[in-house]
Amino acid sequence: MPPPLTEMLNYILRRLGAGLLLLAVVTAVTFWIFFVLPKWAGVTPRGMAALYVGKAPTPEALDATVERLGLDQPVVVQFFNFVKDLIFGTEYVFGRETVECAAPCLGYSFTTNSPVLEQLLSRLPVTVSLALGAAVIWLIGGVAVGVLSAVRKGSLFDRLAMGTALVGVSLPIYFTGLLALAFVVHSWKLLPVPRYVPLAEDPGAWFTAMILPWITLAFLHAAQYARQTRAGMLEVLGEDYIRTARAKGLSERKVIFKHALRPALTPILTIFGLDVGLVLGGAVLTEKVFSLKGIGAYAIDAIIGKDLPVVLGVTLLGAVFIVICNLVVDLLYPLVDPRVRIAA
Amino acid sequence: MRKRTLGFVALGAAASIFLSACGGDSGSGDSASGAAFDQGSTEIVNASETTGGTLRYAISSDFDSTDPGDTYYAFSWNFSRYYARTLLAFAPAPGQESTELVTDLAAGMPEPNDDFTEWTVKIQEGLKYEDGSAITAQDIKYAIARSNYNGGELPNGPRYFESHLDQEPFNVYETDDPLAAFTAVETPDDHTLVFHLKESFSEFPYVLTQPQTAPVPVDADRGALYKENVLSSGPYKFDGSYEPGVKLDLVRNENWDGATDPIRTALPDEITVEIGVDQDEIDQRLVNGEIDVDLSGNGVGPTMKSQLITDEAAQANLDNPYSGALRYVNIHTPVIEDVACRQAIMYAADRDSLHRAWGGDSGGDIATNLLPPTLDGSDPESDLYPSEDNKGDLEAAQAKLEECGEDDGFSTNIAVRDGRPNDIATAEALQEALKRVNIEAEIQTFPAEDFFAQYAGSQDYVRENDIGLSVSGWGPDWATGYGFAYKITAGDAIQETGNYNTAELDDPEVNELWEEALRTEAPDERANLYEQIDTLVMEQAAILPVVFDRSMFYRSDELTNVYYSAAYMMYDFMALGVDRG
Amino acid sequence: MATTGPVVRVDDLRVTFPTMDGDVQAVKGLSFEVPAGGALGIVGESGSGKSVTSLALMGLHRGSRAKITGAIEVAGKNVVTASDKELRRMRGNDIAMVFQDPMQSLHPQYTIGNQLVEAYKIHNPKASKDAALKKAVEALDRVGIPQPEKRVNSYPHEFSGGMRQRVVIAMGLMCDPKVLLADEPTTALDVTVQAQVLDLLDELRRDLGMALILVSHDLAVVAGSVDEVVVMRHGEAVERGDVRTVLSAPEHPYTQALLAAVPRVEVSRAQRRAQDRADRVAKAGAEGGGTVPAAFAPSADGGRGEPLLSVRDVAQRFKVRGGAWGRSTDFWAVKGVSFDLYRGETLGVVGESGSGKSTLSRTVMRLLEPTRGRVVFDGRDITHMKERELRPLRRDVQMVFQSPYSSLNPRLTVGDAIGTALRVQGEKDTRKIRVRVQELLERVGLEPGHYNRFPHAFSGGQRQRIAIARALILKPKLIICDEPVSALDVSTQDQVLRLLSELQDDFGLTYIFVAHDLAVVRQVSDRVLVMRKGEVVESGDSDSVYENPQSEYTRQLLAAAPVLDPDEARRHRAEREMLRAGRVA
Repeated sequence: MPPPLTEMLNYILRRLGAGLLLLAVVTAVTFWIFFVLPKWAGVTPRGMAALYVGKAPTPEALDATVERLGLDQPVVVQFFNFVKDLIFGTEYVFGRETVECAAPCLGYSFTTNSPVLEQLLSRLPVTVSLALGAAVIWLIGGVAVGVLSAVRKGSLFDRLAMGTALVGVSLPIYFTGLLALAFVVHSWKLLPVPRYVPLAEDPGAWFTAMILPWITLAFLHAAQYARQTRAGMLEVLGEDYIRTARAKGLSERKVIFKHALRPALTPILTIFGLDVGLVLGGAVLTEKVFSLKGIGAYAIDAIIGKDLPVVLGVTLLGAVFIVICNLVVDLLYPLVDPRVRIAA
Repeated sequence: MRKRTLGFVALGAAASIFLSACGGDSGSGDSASGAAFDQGSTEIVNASETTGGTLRYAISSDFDSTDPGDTYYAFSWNFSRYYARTLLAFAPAPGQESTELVTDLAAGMPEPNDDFTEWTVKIQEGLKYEDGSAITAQDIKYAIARSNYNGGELPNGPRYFESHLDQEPFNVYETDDPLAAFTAVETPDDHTLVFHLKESFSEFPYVLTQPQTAPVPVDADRGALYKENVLSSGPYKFDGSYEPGVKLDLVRNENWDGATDPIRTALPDEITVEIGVDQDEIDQRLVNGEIDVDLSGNGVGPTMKSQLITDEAAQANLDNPYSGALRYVNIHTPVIEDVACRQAIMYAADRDSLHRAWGGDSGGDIATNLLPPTLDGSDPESDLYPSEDNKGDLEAAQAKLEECGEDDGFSTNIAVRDGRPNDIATAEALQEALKRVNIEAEIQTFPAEDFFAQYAGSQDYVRENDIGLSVSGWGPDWATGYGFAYKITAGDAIQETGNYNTAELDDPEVNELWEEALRTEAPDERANLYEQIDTLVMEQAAILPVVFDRSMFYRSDELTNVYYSAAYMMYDFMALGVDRG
Repeated sequence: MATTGPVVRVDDLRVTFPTMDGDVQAVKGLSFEVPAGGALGIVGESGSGKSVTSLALMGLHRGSRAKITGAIEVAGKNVVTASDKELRRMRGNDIAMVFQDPMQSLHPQYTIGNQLVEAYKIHNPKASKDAALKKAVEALDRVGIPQPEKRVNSYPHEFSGGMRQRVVIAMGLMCDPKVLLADEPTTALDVTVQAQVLDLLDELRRDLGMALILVSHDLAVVAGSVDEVVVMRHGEAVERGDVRTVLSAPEHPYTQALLAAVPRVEVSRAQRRAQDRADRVAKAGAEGGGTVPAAFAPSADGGRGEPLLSVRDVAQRFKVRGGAWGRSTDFWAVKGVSFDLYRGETLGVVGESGSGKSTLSRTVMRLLEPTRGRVVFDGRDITHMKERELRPLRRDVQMVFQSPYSSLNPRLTVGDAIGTALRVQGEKDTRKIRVRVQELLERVGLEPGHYNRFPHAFSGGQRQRIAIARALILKPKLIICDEPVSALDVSTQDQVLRLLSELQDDFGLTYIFVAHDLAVVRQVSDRVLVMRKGEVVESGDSDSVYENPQSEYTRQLLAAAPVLDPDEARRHRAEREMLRAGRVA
C-alpha cells in the first residue's frame, strides 16, 4: 500500500538531505585526492601551476598563477571557498571584465577558463542520449535473452547466449567499440562516422549517430543483465508460487511473463538504477572511443589535465545522478514489490 | 621551444609513439594524384586553385588557447593565422624556404637601428577586422602588451617581448591606460610601431611572426574569455563560439581583403575543427577521407603508422619529415666539472643503442651535433666523438677519464621524467654504455610536472643530489639557431629553478658568439656563428645529442596545395584547400 | 455422500527420474481411487513418493525429466495422456491444489484479489472483471477471511500464515473444482492454526461436495479428516483401507511402527521413560552384552538442593528498525519469565511461533544479554557477565538446534566438528581427542568409522545425533534443545528422543527442551512452561499441566493437537467448534 503523501515527502526530503551529505563527502574526498596525493608525491603549488601555464614559465608567472588559482592556500580554505561559491555564487574577474557566477557556481576551468556548469549542461544532452538509449537497449535486450535462456536452460540458445554474455562482460568497451567502428563505419560503411546531432535538430541523424555507441555500451551491460535475469528467472521458476500459478492452469507464457519475470526483475531494478546513474555521470570509455563530447569525455580530459574545478564538477554531477537514480529506484521499489515499505 | 600539441612537458610522449620500424627512405609509388612518398616534405603536392568546400580538421587533445595572445602550441600558431594576422609571417613555401620571413600586416620588413635595439615597422593601411572597423598600430601594441604583461591572466604564451623590450613590468588589466604605460612600444601614428629593446637582437623580426602581434582592440579584450570569440583580422572568423573540448568552426570573413595578404589563399569556404577525437579514430578517418587534416601536426599514431608503413598502396600518401625536435642528455657542468670527464661520457655513449631507445630509424636520425638539420648552420655530418658503428669509442673514453683523473671511472645520477618510456629507455641505454668504462650512473625518476621546476632544472637540487645527467628534449620556437639553441646553451638563460639550460653551460666563448649573432644582420653570417656555437657546445660536452625526431604524416588525396613547412614542422595550413572532385 | 464412481482414479502409477546413477523410481505401481465427495489421506515419511504422486495428479511433472506410466484419471480425463492445453484446462478447474508452505505459495507481488481473479478468468475467460472479483470475495468469505471486500486488495505478506493458507484454499475454490488436493497443507503452521485449516477443509468438503486428497507425513493430521488412507513407503502403498481400520488395527509392520512412533499427548513422561528403559534392557539383553546402567534418578524431591539454573523475571527487548532511516521501536520478545531448573531435570518450554520460547533459550544461554531480570547458573550470576568471563561457563551449557542441515559446517569432517570444542578448551593430544570423539559417536548410535566423513553423507536424523555428540563432548551440565526433532520424520524423531532420554539416564544431564509439539514436550519434560507472546501462561509439573490445564490457552492448544483416533479427532473438532462459537457469542 502506498504510504501517505506527507510520509513520502518526508522520506524524500530526508533522502535528499542524506544525498547532500554524500555530495559534501564526495567533494571533500575529491579535494583531498586532488591536493593531498600530489603533495605526497612531492608536487608543489608551483609545480601544479606549471600544468596550467605555457612552457618555460618564469617563476613570477608561476607565482601569479598560483595566486590566481589560490593553489597556495590550505586545502581546507580552498574547500570552504568552493562550497561557499557553490551555495552563494561568486564573481570572477577576467581581464577588465567581471563575470557573475551564480549559484550553484562550479567555477571556471583551470585549463580552458570556461564555466564548468555551462560546459556540463551543454554536454549533458550527449550523455543523457547515450545513457538512456543504451539503457533501453541493454535492459530490453539483456532481459529478453536472460528470460529465453532461463526458459530454455541447457539449450543451444542458452549456451550460445551465455557464452556471448561471458565474452560481453569480459570485453572492454575500447575493444568492442573500436572493433565496431573499424568494421561498421570504416570498413563496411554501414553507418556514417558518428557525430552527435541534437535530437531536436534532426532525429534521424541523432539516431544514426548514437546507434553504434548505444549498442556498444549496451552490449557490455546487456551481458550482465542477461546473466542476472537468467539466474533470477531460474531461481524464481523454482519458487512455490510458480507451481501455484501452473496449478491454476495458467499458460506457460503467462507463468513466465506475469508471475516469474516480475520477481526476477525486482533485484535488477536496483542494479539498473545504479548503472543508469553511473552512465549518466559519464560513460568515459564509450564517449572517448566514439569521440562523443559528453560528461565522461569531459571528465577524462579534466583528470588528464588536472583541472580541479572540472573534476569536482563532474564528480558532483555523477554523485547527484547516482543519488537521484537511487532515490527513484527506492521510490519505485514499493510499487514493484509491495513487501518493501518505505520506512517513514 | 614551441609546444607540439601535448605541450613541452609531454614532448617525450609525443615522440614515443614512433615505435615501429619505418625507414623514412623506404618505399615509393604514385598515388592517384601522382604524388610520391615524402613528396610533401619538399614540394607542393596537388597544386590547385579550386575554392570552396569545407576543410575538416580533427584533434585528439585541444588548443592550449585559441587566443592568439595566449598560445604556445605549434599547430595553434599555424592555425590561428586563419583568423589572426601577424606583423610578419613565414614564407608560404615548402621545406627550408618556409623559414624565410615575409610581411603580413606589415607594409614592409622592419627597420632596425645600428645596434639592433630599436625596430620600426609600418603596417598596411585600409586593413579591417571582421566587423569592418580599422586595424591600427595601437591595437597591435595593445595585443603585445596584454599577452606579455597580464599578471597570469593569459599564462600560456611565450614571453619574448617581455624579456627583450625595454619596459618596466606592469599589468594591463590593473592599469587605467595600458597603452600609455607601455612605453617600450611607440605608435607615432596609426600605422607605425617602434619597438625599443634592452639589448641588441638581430632576430627580433622572428618574434614579430608570433601570434601575439595579431591586433586586439582594447575594448574587445575580455581577458581569458577572449578566446571564446576572437575578433578576426584574417580570412575566416569564428562561427559561433569556440567550445573547448568540442569544436571550433570558422566561416569566411567578408571584410578580409586578399589583395593585402601575401600568405593566405583562403581556398575553402568553411573550416571545422572537431576536438577530442581519439587518435586512432582520427587516423582511421583521415585514411578513409572522413576528415582532411590532423590538426595536432604530430603525424599518425602508432597503430596506424605500423599499418601504413607496410601498406604499399599508402606510400604515396605519406610524408616523413623532421619533427624539429632534438632528443638529448644534459651533462651537468657544475656536477661533472672537468670537461674531460664529460667528454669521456660523450665517447662512451653507445649512440646506436640510444637510437634504438627511440625506436630506431622510425623514431628519427642519430644526432651527432646540436642543431636539427632543418636549421641553417646545422651540420649533421659533424661528429666530434666518432666511433665504429656508433657503438662508442671506449679507448678514447678511458683516455679522457685518465685525463680528468678518474682512471677508475666515477659515479653519478641520471634524472629522467616519470611516465616517459623513451626517456627511461634512453637513460637505461646510457647507463649500460657508461658501465663499460666504469662510470656508474644510477637512474632516478621524477614527476614530469616538477622536473625542471624542482629537480633537474633546480640548481640546488642538482648539486645536492649529484645529478650529473638528465634526459631532455627541445624544439625550436622559430627555425633559426637562436630560436632553437639560445635557451639551452646561453649563460644568460641559466635560471635558479625552472632552468632549461640544464647543463648550466656558461662558456664565455659561446656567450660571446650569441651576443655577436644578435648584432649580426645577415642570416647566412648568423648561420655561420650558430655552427660555431654548435661545435663549441659539443666540445664542451654539455649536451649529448641522441636523435632528431621524425613525424609520419598521412596526406589525403582530397587535399590541395599540401606541403611541409619547416617553420611549423607540419603542413602549412594557410595553403590548404579541398577538391572532392 | 453420493458416490457415483470415482472422481480420481490412479492405476499402477509409476514415476521414474533419470539420474546420473541410473533411474530412480519414486513411485512404484501405486493405485487408488477417490469417489466424488470422498476423502483420501496419503501418508508417508520423506522419500515415500507422496509428494511426487500429488504433483503427478496435477500433471506438474510436465517439462521435467520425469517419466510417468500408468493411468491417472481426474474427472474422467487422463492426466498422463492429455495435451498441454487440456491439462491446463483441467488444472484449477477440475482439480485444485493447496501446497505445503503458504508463505511461499502465493505470489508476493500481486494482490490476492489479482491472483484469485486470475484463477477464475483462466477458466472463465468471458466473465467480466466485476463478476470475477465478486466470486473472489465470496471465496474469501467462504474460507473465513474477515472483511473480504477490503482484504481482497491486500498483498499476501499482509496476512498471517494461517490466513494465507485460507487464501490458497480460496484460490482453489474459485472454479468449484471436483477435487481439492492438499499437500501437507498444515506442516508449516502452528497447532491451533493447523486445526483451523483442517477444520476448514473438512467443512468445505462437506458443504461443497468436493473430493479431498490430503497428503501428509503425519498420521494424526489425516486421522480426523479422511475416510480412506494410503500409507506409502519407498514409492509403494504398504497399506490401504478405511482410516479407522488402518489406524486401529494396522496390518503392515511399517504402519504399526509408524503408529508406535507418533508421540501421543496422552502418554506421560513417566510412562515414556519406563517404556524406553524397558526397550533398552530388552535390546541389551537380546544382544547379550553390556550392562544397562542404572537409571540415574534425580534425587528425591526433598533433596533437590540448589537449582542448577535460576531465572528471575527475565525480559528481552529488541530494537525494531523501521527501515534505513526509520525510527526504531521496541519489541519485547520475552516479558518477565521466571523458573528454576534442578539437576537431572528436563524443563519443557512449549509455545507457538512468536511465543518467545527461542529467545528465552538464547537468553538463558547468554547468547543474548537480558534486558531485565537475573540469570543464575550453577550458583553464579551470569546476567551481565562479560564474554571473557563467560567462556569457561560455555562448556557447561550446550545447545542442539532445530535444523540438522545448517548447524553443521559442510566443510568440516564429523570428527573435527565434534572435536573442535575440545581443542578450543585446550586439549592438544589429537589421538586423545579422536578416541573421545569415537566413543561419543558410538554412544549416540553412529559408527566410530564415521569420524572422517563429511556431514552431507548423513541423513537428517544422523546429523542430529552428530549435533548431540558435539554438545556432549565437553560433558556439559545443561543442554538446551531448541526444536531438536521438529525437522525429522516421526520414526527418526522417536529415535532421537530415545537417545536424549538414554543420555539423561547415563550422564544425569539437565535439559531445557523447547518445542511447539505438545506431545513431544509432555513425553520428555518433568515440568512445563507454556508460553504465549513472551509470557508464561501456565507452568508446573507436566502431568498436571496436560491433564488439568488451568489456562484457557493451554486448553486451546490441547484441543488443537491432532490425535490418532479418528473418532477422538472428530470429537476434538466439535469441541473446537464449540470453543469458537463460544468466543463469537
